Amino acid sequence: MGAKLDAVKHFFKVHTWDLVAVLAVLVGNGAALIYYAVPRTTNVTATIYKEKEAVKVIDLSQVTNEYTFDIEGKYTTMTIGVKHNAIAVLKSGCPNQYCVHQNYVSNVTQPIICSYNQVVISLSANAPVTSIIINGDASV
Amino acid sequence: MSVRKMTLLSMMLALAVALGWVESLIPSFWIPGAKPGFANMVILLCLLEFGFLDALLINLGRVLLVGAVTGTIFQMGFYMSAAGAALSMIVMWVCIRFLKKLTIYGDSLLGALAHDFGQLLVGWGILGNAGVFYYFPYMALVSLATGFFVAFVVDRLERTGIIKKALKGAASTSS
Repeated sequence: MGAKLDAVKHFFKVHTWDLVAVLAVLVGNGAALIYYAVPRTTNVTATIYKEKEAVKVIDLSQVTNEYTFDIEGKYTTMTIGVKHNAIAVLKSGCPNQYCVHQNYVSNVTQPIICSYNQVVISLSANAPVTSIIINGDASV
Repeated sequence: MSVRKMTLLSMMLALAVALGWVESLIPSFWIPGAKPGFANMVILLCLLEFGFLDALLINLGRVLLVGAVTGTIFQMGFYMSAAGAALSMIVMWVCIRFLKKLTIYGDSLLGALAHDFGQLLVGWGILGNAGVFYYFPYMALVSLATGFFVAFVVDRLERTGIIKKALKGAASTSS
């Protein structure tokens, strides 16, 4: 029993700063995850960026009927799905499909990123626009 | 540089490339860029046994060769991987050299976190959107586990003294 206690004491003595680092990571991560988890899903506007340039802005709060449209990513075509206060990448030719797996996103803290196609869909709250096509010919 | 050391470093590079290639076959599932960091074992071992410059050479060679083997060289993922590897190595070296209170476990954990951060920094630069940092907390959680695993393996290897023995030429005579 005494030997075990000594071993535990020795472990904590040797690894004090390692444990501090782990604790700091856990606390920081916990705070970040709580921040991300807080729902901010009303009056959402989606901005679609391709290679740093905004190509389309959609006020998702004004969308009543679900619809889809295609955009050209850097390498492949992507199908975007839009519904009330939510947006998703439904199809993409990218190899890892992370963007598709994210499904419909409605929280403004959560972007959809396709690094392969260099497309980012960024959500923000309270931007009073209905639907603006900045560049491209997608119909809304 | 002695022939023995050069041979050993070449073997380390080959091992790092092999591990990097195997790792590229493992999908990241839901968290982009989250990988086990097998190749980081070799880099951490090199930092401990050979020092910064040799580890830098191995790391540079590893990133280039794995990029060439997997066909991702000079694509966005390649730059992200290179930045992650560079930042991770610098952070681990600083920890080993200056933060003596941390053990190999702390060094490896901070290195893994730096790898994530380096990748996201380049992602931010290329995509021009700070939203990429959304993934950091998720990647960091994975890094806790992978950082521990890498440190555990390197710690065990260090205890065997296999590199020191190989450098002195004792490995072949002792077995």
